[in-house]
Amino acid sequence: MKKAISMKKAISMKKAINMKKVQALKSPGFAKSGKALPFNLILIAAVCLGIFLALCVGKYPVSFSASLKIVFYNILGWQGDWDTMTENVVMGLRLPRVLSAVVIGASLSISGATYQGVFRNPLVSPDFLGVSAGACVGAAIAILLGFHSLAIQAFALAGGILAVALTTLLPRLLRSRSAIVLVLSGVIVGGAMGSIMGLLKYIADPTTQLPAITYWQMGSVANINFRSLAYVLAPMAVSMTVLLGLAWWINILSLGEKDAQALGANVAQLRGVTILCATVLTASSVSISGTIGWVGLVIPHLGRMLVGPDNRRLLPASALLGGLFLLFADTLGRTIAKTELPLSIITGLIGAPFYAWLLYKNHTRLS
Amino acid sequence: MIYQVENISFAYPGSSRTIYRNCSFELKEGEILSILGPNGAGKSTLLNSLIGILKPQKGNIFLAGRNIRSLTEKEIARQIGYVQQSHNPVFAYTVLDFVLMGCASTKNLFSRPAKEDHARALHILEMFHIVHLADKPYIYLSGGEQQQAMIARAVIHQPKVLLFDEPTSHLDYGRQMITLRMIKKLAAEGYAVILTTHNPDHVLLLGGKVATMEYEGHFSIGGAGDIITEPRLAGIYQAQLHLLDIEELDRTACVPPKL
Amino acid sequence: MKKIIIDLFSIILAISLAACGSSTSAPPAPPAPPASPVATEPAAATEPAAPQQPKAVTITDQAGRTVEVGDVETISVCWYMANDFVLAMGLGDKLASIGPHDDFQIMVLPGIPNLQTVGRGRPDMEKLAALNPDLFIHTVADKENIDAIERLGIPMIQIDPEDIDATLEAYHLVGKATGNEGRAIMLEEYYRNTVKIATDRIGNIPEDQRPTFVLLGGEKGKVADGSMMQSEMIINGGGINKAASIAAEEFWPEVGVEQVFEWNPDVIFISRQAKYTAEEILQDPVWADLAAVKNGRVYELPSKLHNWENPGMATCLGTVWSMMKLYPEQYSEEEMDKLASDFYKTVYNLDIERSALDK
Repeated sequence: MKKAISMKKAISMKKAINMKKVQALKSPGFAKSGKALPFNLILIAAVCLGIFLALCVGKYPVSFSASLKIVFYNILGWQGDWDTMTENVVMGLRLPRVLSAVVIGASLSISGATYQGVFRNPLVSPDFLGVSAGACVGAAIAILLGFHSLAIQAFALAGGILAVALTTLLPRLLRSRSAIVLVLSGVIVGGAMGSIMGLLKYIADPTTQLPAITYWQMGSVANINFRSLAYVLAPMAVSMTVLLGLAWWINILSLGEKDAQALGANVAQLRGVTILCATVLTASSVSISGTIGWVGLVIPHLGRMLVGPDNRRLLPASALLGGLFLLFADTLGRTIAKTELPLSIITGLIGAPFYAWLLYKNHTRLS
Repeated sequence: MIYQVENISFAYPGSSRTIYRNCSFELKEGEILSILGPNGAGKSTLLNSLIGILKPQKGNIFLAGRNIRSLTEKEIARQIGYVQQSHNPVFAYTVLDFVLMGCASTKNLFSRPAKEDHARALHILEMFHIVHLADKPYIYLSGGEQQQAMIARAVIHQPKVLLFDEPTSHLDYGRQMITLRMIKKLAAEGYAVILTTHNPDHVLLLGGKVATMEYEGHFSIGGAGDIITEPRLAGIYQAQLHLLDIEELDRTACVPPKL
Repeated sequence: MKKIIIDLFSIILAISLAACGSSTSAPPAPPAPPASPVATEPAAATEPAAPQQPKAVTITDQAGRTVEVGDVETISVCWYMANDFVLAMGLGDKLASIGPHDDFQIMVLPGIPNLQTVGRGRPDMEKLAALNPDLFIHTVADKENIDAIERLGIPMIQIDPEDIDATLEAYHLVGKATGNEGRAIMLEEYYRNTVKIATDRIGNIPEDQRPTFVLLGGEKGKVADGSMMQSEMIINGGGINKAASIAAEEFWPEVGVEQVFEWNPDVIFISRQAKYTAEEILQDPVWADLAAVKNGRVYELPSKLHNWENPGMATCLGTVWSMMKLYPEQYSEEEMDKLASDFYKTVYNLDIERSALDK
């Protein structure tokens, strides 16, 4: 402690003097951020590679090299001499599907990491405030009304956001700012939505509407086209940008309400914005793909293991890992058997044991 | 003047119990105010009122000349370094990241710590002799190390006043003395310091102003010598305590009698 | 006071005993001989009370259960697919309850909306018990409720119209149970004759010259595999199902759009379950190079009002219709119109033009 004299003076000293000293030190902070950048670059490269690979496999016989050629020629805007059917398969069928998987995986993972940070609970998944349940109800209503796919998408989006609005309204009515009340409120709204869902399925036409609702609930990126993806891309991009921008403030929120406020954070505002963005991300994803489990829960954990809990590194890493994971799961699902394996089954089959392994690896930290 | 507290009273909504009543005091730079009271007397409630988390029903608090009611969280936090009793983050942030979060009140939304913040944080860690821990997760540190990191976090944005909630209660005896010495040093450097404690001897060691809180909201404030009296201590703690002048140490100590 | 209570008690006892007595005597005499109305047995002569004696038939249903059915005055269903088996058999006026139903069925039997409901797909036991129908027609897919229905003492036949033969057998079962065998024979004859229209016209076309098809389901990547009735229907119409070899457990296995591209069938049929239209596929540039799309041979199965692909009589129309789409030179739209009008008059006693089915 003897050297700790005049901290205040030292702190306010010109940084120029300290900088050298700091550089001489191990300066772990910089080392970390320096390490994180290449890691993200590696992930970006992996995602790009994954996209290329995924574009080159499938049931339609296109040789690997031909697919690769088609992709590169399309990127460069060249005209190839292959038949248009082959090009349509690669660019028209595989590309929207592959991109959707990446975008949805990234959205669900960022959303999950945000929720976990904001609610200081690494066990929450992006739909614990009722997003997915609400989106399901919205989609089911649209299906029952006989609406077309874009309307179903819009209803799902609205349903998801409405459910979260309801969930956040309940604590307000109780004049409570406690996160636990909010989580309980999510349980209530989710349960109510589940019941409504049961009711809607009960009144659905068993031959046409019921299979459509069930299929929608299962979650799939098989039939997403560029048009439906385009509709959600803008809200997704905005939300992702905001969350990446607020990443450091999510750290502060994750210290707890009182600490965050004492540090100068406007907790209510920050929580509102981050929950809104995370909700929009999940609801947008769910609206085009249906509910896909495990991604938003497991990927942030994997991210934390790889880059640490700092959301400035975690959010981008989670997004990339999530995109990669869902891309892998979907590509596996559409190539492994004669019929497609539902996405949620694969994410569950990979996600659940992986989650167990993560818990085992981190059990010291959790106990 | 850092703090000007005028006649504040507080009761939790829906509760009939007044936590503190008609509490007034002033605090200048370099001054120490120790708030003494038994467990549950409302010391933390008072501290939370002073940082604006709880709003007193009556009276006014002026922070650096401005009424705290008119200040945003950020403006309040800008003036205050708050050292919590204990902290249990869910996520394993590194000590450096943890300390950097103290910069929040100087940052706008969407901005984050810059290079110079990193440099300053490392420098403070160095002065606190915990720079070797910068990369370690905060939650893996010992109690004493955690407190040092917390104090580092409280001073990184160069506030005017430091608030300590029970700074000695989770520490071993040696650590307690280190912490008290540090508090005294920080005050000597010009920080106004407010701390809560339930150890009257610590108050005597620190000197400065003392406030006592008792049940039913009684609040008294004054110099250490005036406030720390045997009858008052007996009233607060329901136990006989003795004030002894120890010549060799040149101080008054508060000691319990033989059991 | 005591007396009143005892009196009350005895009254209640008397009533309940009476109720028990009536309920045990109400159902058809348990071991009654399987006397059919046409049978002229000596037993009928020796017993003058025979006309009062309710007849009972013993039937083995498509779940393999042996059921004894008495005189059927009321029929109850709660399963959508069962509706057609009652309506086509001309037994609509005996319906005492109905589950999910569609507009066409209301057209055939305008009283449907006023009927009771004893469940949707799966029976509501209390309601079913209260209704106590003479016959309950149900699906073999329901395994959970069978015991309970049997314990209620309600005669039930389970049907399993998974292919054309089984569908026709189901009509016979309903006919046997209700004493309407003649109607069932007529329906089967009509069905076989209608299918024969298709097979006659294409009979001489060898397998390798028949056009290939894929029948798409609710999603574009879902298809009808060889085990499905819809597939059989179009195969009877002269098509070769590209997805026949996909042996999936579930209906409408999802093979993915890419697989459909790989198959590149001559004709694409679209199920009524689809959330998309033929027009959508024809306009989609991604699909433009498929043979079926190039030649404009993407068809939605008929029809909006009455589904020709669901298990039931209408699949015979579906067979002829798919033959017409697969071999347009073999069969004209006018012939189809005539056939449809005749079908609806014969089977459902409805005067309706084919064009009105797609309004």
